[in-house]
Amino acid sequence: MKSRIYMVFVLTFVAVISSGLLAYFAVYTQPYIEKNKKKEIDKAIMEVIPGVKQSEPIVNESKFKIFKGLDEKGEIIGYAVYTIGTGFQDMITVMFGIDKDLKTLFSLKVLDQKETPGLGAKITDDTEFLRFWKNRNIEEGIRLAKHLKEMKELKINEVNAISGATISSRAVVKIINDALQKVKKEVK
Amino acid sequence: MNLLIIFISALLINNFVLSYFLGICPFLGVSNKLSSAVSMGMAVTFVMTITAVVTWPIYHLILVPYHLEFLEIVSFILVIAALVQFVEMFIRKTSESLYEALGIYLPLITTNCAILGFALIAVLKNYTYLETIVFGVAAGLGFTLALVIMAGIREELDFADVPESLKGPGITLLVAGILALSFMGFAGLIK
Amino acid sequence: MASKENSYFSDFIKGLWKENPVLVQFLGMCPTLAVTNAVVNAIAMSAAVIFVLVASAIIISLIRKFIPAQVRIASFIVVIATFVTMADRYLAAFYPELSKALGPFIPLIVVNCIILGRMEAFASKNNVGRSILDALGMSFGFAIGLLLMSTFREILGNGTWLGYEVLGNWWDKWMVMILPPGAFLTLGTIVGVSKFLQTKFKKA
Repeated sequence: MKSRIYMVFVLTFVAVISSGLLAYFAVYTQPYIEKNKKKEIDKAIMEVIPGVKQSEPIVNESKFKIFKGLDEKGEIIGYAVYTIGTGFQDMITVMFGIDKDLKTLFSLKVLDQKETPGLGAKITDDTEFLRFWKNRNIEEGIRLAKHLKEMKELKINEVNAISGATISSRAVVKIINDALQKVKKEVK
Repeated sequence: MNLLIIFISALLINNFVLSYFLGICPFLGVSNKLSSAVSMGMAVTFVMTITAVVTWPIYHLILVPYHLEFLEIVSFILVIAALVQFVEMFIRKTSESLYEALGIYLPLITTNCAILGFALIAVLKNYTYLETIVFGVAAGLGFTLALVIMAGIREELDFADVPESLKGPGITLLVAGILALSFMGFAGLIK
Repeated sequence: MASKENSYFSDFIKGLWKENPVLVQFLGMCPTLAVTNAVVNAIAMSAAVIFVLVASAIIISLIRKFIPAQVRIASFIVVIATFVTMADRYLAAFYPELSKALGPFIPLIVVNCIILGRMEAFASKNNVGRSILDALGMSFGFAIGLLLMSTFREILGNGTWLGYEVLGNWWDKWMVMILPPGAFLTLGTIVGVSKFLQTKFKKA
């Protein structure tokens, strides 16, 4: 009996010391971790809306966020949309900026992906993929061009697919079009 | 539909063993006989499903509301260890035959990183309760699938003329590599 | 005295080669395969394991006499999990990119068989000094295994080492090396070759 009480005592003691230590450490690291998370999103917003100075969230769900992008006078210049969708292999997380009338997509940034290295993973590559996404018309959604074209030959709502990774490219287009539908409902 | 995607993804595309590298120790250790591979797989699937049922409420109903997320690792591993002990006791009392089949594998499961890994990934992916349970079942079945395929190959391998220095772990790892290559073919199954 | 020094030395050195946890004992396979697609990941992982293994060894060898046998494993796990959480939070706070790349594999150090194995086999039976040496030897052995793996995989798969270009443009990158199958193939080859060299060495 005595040994059993001692057993419980030791285990409780170890657990209490450990959680105390962790609580202290958590309090110490928490601000840095939050800063990192915020910095990543803020940096992405700056990149996808040209000339944005500050932003405020309108929709803030875990898998879908909309941020209002404001200029230095506090006037709205566009929206930044954060969304997650299914790719070829796993989830793809992207951020894109659109103008305040929901007509033009400024640019696209891929935040997180686990596509095949060397093929689908090129969705993060500027020359192979992202540069075609500059200033696209989104009134009727984005489409993949039937075959690879030069930038200036692309229609205003078309983007090029990555050669050898059509499925990943198509997945990104679908993620953006789905998100645009939601944005149109949220932002009136 | 979303549940089906999670199921297929965890079972085939992002197979725990061949793509996430979780549960490698039992994968190399227990895959030399088909019968023990099946038992091990069943035991892991069983424990993983219960882990899903238990860890989700702990994280989302206790740790998050009280801002104790930093206790995630400590609480998960203790819960899993206690769970495994409990399951072992329960099986021993209720079913003799089931205990004989799974018994010796259960204690090994506590240190099987697939279980803790699963609990952590489910939190990381922000799954709902139902999604977490489906993910748990699928991940367990995916582990079983990889283990059973591997055991089937290794039983045949006994009759093959393998170079002396590759015998044992060497050839097992090479076979696992080829298996992982073929599992890559499942990518893109979901559109 | 000489023999004592000798045994201290062997506490340290045995983990490096003769009882190398990765290449000889096949412990801690999950991180070995998962995080070795780039050298920088391997280094971060090794650093975390060195920290957790040494810190846990110190604490456990200090308190080993107060811990009743029945709750030994449970107490070990709590101590290990505490240090793992600290390492995880530290990376998330100061090296967010590395923390993202390693994903759940830092928390998974808790169930790494190397750590619990060393606590059970060594730190719970020996004094602080010897436990530290043993922990250092084992974790350096782990680091050697990881570095070896990641060096092969990053050079062949990406043409770089620690981000620096090693092979020029003429090198057609072997993508498969940084994909999951490459991990198995690399480790299988390393194990086969080292075994071959050992047997040849003995015969000669």
